Amino acid sequence: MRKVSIIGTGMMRFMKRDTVNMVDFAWPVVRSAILEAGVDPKSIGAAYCGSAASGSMPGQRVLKRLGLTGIPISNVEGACSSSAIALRHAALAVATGECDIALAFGVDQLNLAGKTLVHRTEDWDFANGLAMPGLYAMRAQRYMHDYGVTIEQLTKIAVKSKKYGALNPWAHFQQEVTPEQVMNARMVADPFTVLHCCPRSDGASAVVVCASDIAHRFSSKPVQIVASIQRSGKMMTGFRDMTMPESTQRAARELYEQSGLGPEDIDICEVHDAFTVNELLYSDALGFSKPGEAVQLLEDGDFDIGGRIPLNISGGLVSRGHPIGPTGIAQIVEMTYQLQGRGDKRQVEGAKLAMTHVTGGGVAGLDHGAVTIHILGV
Amino acid sequence: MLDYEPLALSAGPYLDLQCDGGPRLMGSECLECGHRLFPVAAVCPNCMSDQLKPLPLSREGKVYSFTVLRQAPPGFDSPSIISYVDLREGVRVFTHLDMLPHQAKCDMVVHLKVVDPKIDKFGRKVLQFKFAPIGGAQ
Ligand SMILES: [Zn+2]
Repeated sequence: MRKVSIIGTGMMRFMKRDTVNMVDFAWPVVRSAILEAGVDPKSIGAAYCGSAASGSMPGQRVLKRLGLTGIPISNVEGACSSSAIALRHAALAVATGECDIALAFGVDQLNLAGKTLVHRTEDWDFANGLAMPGLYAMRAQRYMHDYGVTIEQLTKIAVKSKKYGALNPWAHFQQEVTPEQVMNARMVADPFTVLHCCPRSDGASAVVVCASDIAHRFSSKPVQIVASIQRSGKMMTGFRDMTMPESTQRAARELYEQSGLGPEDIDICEVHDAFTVNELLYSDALGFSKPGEAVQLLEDGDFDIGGRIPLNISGGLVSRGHPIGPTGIAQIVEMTYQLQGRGDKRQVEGAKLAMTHVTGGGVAGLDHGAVTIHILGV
Repeated sequence: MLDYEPLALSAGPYLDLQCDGGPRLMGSECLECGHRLFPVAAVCPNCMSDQLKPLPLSREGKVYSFTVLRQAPPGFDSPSIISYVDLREGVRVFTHLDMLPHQAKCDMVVHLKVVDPKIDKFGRKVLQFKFAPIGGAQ
């Protein structure tokens, strides 16, 4: 298998964009990734579009505007993991020699889609009134019960997220908040107020990848995809430990084994923080902390710039926003910026290895429908 | 009224109201591998066998976790206290708790309580039971 590198990125500010068609905000993002890569559009051999709520063939609908047609265009649905899976498939197409240059992007317009991503007609839990904030809130309640974590500590995660979101011009929320504002905001599902939860955003994100041995033709600082894994949650009907997301833990262990790397090698990470408690759950599951000990990293500033493992310095899903389909590649774009030294006010100095982690979906019996993890390096 | 078509249970009823000693939830036990699950199922997710027998479940359980949904999905009461309750048979049931929000705690003992159901748009009963604390809501 050939090595694969990222040579171009495209991103937009995630926000409510319900007055235009999603195709109209998506094509400029894809175009900017191709222009940044500096490749001849005709040299792109395959395209992969990650989308969860945009109906049939969003890839073709966006790419026809740019005349990027005739090539294989694959539409990938994996809920919040959609575009991370799209990138994985683009990278595999290059790695296996199917083509030398491939495009991956994500797009969704949640504020017009107006539907939930859970299965109320076939899953007992969701048919009987479960919702995603409720699922994560129950994880939070048990995590707090088992490890003595307090609401004040979860509040610190929201404050941190908004602090870094304020440094990110692509973020949906760019305003800092105080602990009091977080605690006094509208309650959604105990212990989460609305400021613990990601917003419903619209947006698009894109990357161009190519074989690493030709990457320097296009980019002075290509970012290599060092390792990549995609798994689904295991169907379990008994007493699952909801403080330890099994699919993330399992995927991370396999990824470390494959790559010969360990959690101690990772310099910076974006995790799937759809809700504040996720930073604790996934820090434990990815091995940055032992089970229950992530809160100590939080308290010690290890999740901040200058700390041991800066976490969600983009503002994460809670502040950057979570349009579902584009979220995975938004994380990839952010980590590419960091590794290329383009992080601006949120730059983590000397970052060499970066991780992105995104789960996907509420399917009862599985902790998540999908989990996708990438390690990027320079 | 629920504005979506809820769960269609093809494998049989999940609540036995005629059981001796009071109503019981019904799960399934696989005759091939012994795997147990709720609600009743037509196929085993552990070994793919279609040989399953009905499994009457304990009326008493323990709250694994819970939350108070301040804005419940359409058709459900707001707030709703939702929960995963663990039963002695080794199965976990998603349910609602019949108590006041401040009463809900992890690991508290609760028991099955038949309640007035919600009716879906096809006239079927949904949410026919909750779990309640010993001594009731207070
Ligand atoms: Zn079986």
